[in-house]
Amino acid sequence: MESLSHFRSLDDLVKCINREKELLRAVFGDRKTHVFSTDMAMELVEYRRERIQFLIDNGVIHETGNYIELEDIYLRFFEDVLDVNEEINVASVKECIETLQENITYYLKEPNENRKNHYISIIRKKLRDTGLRTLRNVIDLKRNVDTAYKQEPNYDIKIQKLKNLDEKRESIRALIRECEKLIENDKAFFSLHSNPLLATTIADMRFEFTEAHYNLLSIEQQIIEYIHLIEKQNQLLKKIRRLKYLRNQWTIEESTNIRQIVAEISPVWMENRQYNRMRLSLEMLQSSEEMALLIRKVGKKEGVINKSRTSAPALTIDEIQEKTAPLNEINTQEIWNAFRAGSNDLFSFILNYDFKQERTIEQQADLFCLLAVQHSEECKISNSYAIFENLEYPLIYAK
Amino acid sequence: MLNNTQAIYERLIRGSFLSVDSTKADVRHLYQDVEDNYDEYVDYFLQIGFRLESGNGYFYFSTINDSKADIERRLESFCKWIDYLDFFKSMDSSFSVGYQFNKTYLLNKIDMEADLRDKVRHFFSQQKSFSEKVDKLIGELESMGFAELIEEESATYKVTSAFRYAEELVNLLTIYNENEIPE
Repeated sequence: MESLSHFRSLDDLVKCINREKELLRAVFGDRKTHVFSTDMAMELVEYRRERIQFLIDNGVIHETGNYIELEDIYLRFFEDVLDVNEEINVASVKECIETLQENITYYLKEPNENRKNHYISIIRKKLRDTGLRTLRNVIDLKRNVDTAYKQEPNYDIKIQKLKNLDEKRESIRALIRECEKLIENDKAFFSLHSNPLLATTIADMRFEFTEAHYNLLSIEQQIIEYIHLIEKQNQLLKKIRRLKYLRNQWTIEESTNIRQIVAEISPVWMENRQYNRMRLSLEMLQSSEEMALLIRKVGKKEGVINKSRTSAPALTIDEIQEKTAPLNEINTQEIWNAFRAGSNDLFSFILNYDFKQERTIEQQADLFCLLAVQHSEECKISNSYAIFENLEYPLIYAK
Repeated sequence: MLNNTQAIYERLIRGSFLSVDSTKADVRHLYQDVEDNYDEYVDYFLQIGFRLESGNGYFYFSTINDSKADIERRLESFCKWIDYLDFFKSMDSSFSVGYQFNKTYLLNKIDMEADLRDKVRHFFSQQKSFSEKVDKLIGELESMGFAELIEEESATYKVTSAFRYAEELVNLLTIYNENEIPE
């Protein structure tokens, strides 16, 4: 195989990992994005290509195109020991149980005591492994459930992920049950209970299973709650979209009970009132120089100061004395009423009327026309004409 | 013993909410105080004409005077929030309590999605640019206490528990013949 490790000893492996720890840390950190370029890697190995090549030759990393990735075996190792693996590997627990059963069979068939002990040690190791892996799976499952709920933005995928994780939870539970059945009921296994070391391991494993069992119950609750919350959010989203549609169609009031609801509630945020518009006490404002200064400051800030009035000079005696100036205004209604009370024709009436000011003949003619037009309904216009100076005018009487 | 009547009044009277998960220590302190002395505070504020209402992780004021004359105004306020909710939920369906966002993120989303652009265009006619409109929109969330600035440098906001109020308000509504209306 191309990626077969050529490390001759554990020493070599540890040394190599230690030497290239910066590069390995960086590649591991970028494992999800898969975009760790060879150029970036070169920077971390002081541009010595042979160091990268050494890692490739020993199956620690591999190069695809211009990108570098950790070999799967190292990736899984790091994820496992650092407790960050995201995959819940139910198969590995299943494998453990199968190996366990095989070794129990070998143990029972083996007459040689030394070899029997060898199988016992394998069985112990596998039991420990099964317990630990189950617990690890449960912890991973719990973390993955939270991550799926909190970080997956797409609702459909989120629900699907949670449902898949729920299936995994069910598989882990089934495996625990299978394992417990094996310990409790398998006759062959029962005969192993007498071994004191093995008895301790079994007790440890039972303890881990109990812990896993409780955790699985709480995970189940959590998944149900999350799915419920997602469904609720989904329903809410649909409802908001429908409401928006109705609003755009201007039919929200007819198609919903919104008017009834707003009549029943009266939260302050919906109100238009300004409750916090407090009037300051005038007495307090006039109480000190400090206040006057503050008012000036506020005034300046608001630009009020420029508009403030300054004191005008005192009025002179001449300005205080009473003076009258007649206005050149006439009350047409009053004139009309007076005209109606008499029997003269309109133009003669105007000529003889006692105006307070002297008027020109043009002004009198204007007034004549104005009254005739304004009160045309109340006038009787005769066919006779008269002449005043050079003006010819019709004789108009009040009806 | 009611120690924070003034601080609580001043916050709630503006139509704002008190949230259990506020990032501001003083707000959390007020929330705790109201929770510990809820009945006393309710009685106290009733005397000055306000009902102290409690929800799932939030408190707010409503008025006792249920004047029918204000219904149009309330309808308008409610509808305005339907528009905002529609925008935020369309932008990201997981927009709810605990959600974090910043202005750049909102503007990027608006820039990429024509549908969102269209929604925002109808908001705040006084503000012309999308940037100004988004500022105003965040301001609306903030003034209600529905979102709080949690990191100044990146201008990141977090949606508080009080946002549940807006969601619960929508749930109060009944749409007649709901299934016949397109989503």
